[in-house]
Parts: sequence; structure tokens; C-alpha cells
Amino acid sequence: MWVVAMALSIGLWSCSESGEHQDYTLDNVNFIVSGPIYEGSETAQYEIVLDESLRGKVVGAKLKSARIHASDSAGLSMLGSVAFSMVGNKADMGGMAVLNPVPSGSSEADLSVSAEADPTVYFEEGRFYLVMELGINQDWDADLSVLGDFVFDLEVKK
Amino acid sequence: MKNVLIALCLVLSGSLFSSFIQQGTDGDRLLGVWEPSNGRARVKVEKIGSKYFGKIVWLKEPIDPETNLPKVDKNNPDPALQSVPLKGYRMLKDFTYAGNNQWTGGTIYDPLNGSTYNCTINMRDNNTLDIRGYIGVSAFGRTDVWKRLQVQRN
Repeated sequence: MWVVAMALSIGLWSCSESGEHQDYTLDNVNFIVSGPIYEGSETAQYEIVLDESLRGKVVGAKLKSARIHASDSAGLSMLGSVAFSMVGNKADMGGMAVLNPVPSGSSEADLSVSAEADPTVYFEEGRFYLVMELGINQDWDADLSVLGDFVFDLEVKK
Repeated sequence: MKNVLIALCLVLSGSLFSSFIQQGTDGDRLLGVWEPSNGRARVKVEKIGSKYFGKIVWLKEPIDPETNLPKVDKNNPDPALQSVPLKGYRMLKDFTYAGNNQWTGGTIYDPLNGSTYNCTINMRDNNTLDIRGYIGVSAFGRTDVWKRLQVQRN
């Protein structure tokens, strides 16, 4: 299942020799798992289609931050862990960030971002998937929705 | 002559379309839950985009005796990802269906040593996979037989 990305890039610009740096922000990305849900591991994916203005222009990318927050009053109480990956139809999957365990009673939490992970290939491909592996700690009769906020530092050709 | 050309184009495009559809459904036969020969884990194959991935959904020994907590990917070469739970971990990644009951271009990860190997998957029948992991050349590798957990009729 995929939905169209609603996020936009918002620039915080700086210059380097090879390109200009800007923040690419994805807010309130809605990761949905259809219920009923059972204790264990569930995958939620979200397809991103890069804006035409960035197609073929991204020469470098880094994930700066990844945060999850609850979409309803249930909070994040059902989640034991969260692992965030990215993958393209051509580019191989790469692990980006993790949160294990999810702090109990929290309604939002920051994931630990890998400094080694390099998401450049996904932005070069222009169309990719954000993949959330959700560790579910209890059975649940309804759909589950978790919102994600992501900030990438992009290096864009001048 | 013009009509013949149009008819020919229609036949060719129809044939290409049906072959495309066939490839998608054929490849999807890999979806499901599989058990390696050692019986220590169960792996669920899912599709993300156009590729196939297998994640661990069950472990015979889910608790790490050293920490008394659920096992994590402590041998991951990336220290930041060593807290990723093994339950839910994708040990098969990035496979595409190549036809002839083969999925290629992917990798298999061994959480026991943190190593990733090139891998090809060959479906012997609907309930049996030959999973061949190798480094470099396929001739120098090891094949394991995986069985489908929920048996389907051939």
C-alpha cells in the first residue's frame, strides 16, 4: 500500500563547492497497519515521489533526524520497538534509524539515527519507500497508525 | 497492409502485457512464511515496491541469555543499528524475480556473525526453496533448504 507523499522540501540553504545544502522535511508521514494486529512484527511502508525540482539534482543526502508520534490517544503504548529503513526499486534496502525500546507512556520519541547510513541512492532514484518495522507488544483489533517526521540534509547541484 | 501492421502491433503489445502480468504473479509465489532447515527461525517474505524481502517473525530462542532480553542484532557492523530487534529483522533483502522459479540480485544476512552474503533463491516446488548464499561466485557457497510453513498444494 502506498499513498502520495504530502511533504515538501523546505530550504535552509548553505553552499559548498559541489552543491548547495538544503533541508528536506517530511512531516506527519502516516504509517498505517491494517488491523486486526497481533503481537509480533508488522511492516508499514510509505512511497515517496521526489518533487520534479529535485529530480536528478541530488548528489548527497544524510538523515538528520527521525521522530515518531502518536496519531491518537492510544499513544505509542502498543509499540515495543521501531526500526526505520529505506529502499528503492533499484537501490538496495538500507537501515537508517532505530528505537528500542520505545519509552513507555510516551506520545512521541526520537529514533537513533545511523551516522554511517547513506540515503543518497534513494534520492538519486527519485522514487523510494520509507519502511517502518513496528514491534507490536499487544494484540489490537483496529488499524494502527503511527506518524513520522524526518529531516534530511540534501546536497543539490547548483 | 496498414491493417496487418495494426493487428501485428496489437498482438505483440498484448503478449508483452500478459508476460508482464505473468512475471508479477509468478514472483509472488515466494510470499509466505518459510522455515530454514535448522528450524531455529521462521521468515516471512513480503513485497516492498517491486522487490521481495524476508523478515524473521519467529525465533526458537528469542531471549538472549546474556541480557535476558529479546535478541537484538548485536553483530551488526553499524554500531548505531545494533539495537534493532532480531524479531522483525530482514535477513533476505532486495530479491527480484528472474523467471524460471528463481529470485536473484538479493542478499542474505547471518545474524550470528553479522555477515551479509549474495544470495539466489530457487523454488523447487511451491513449498520448498533452495537458498544459496555465496561470496563472489555462486559456485563457492552453501545451499540451505527452506520449507513453507503453511503447506500449499502444488
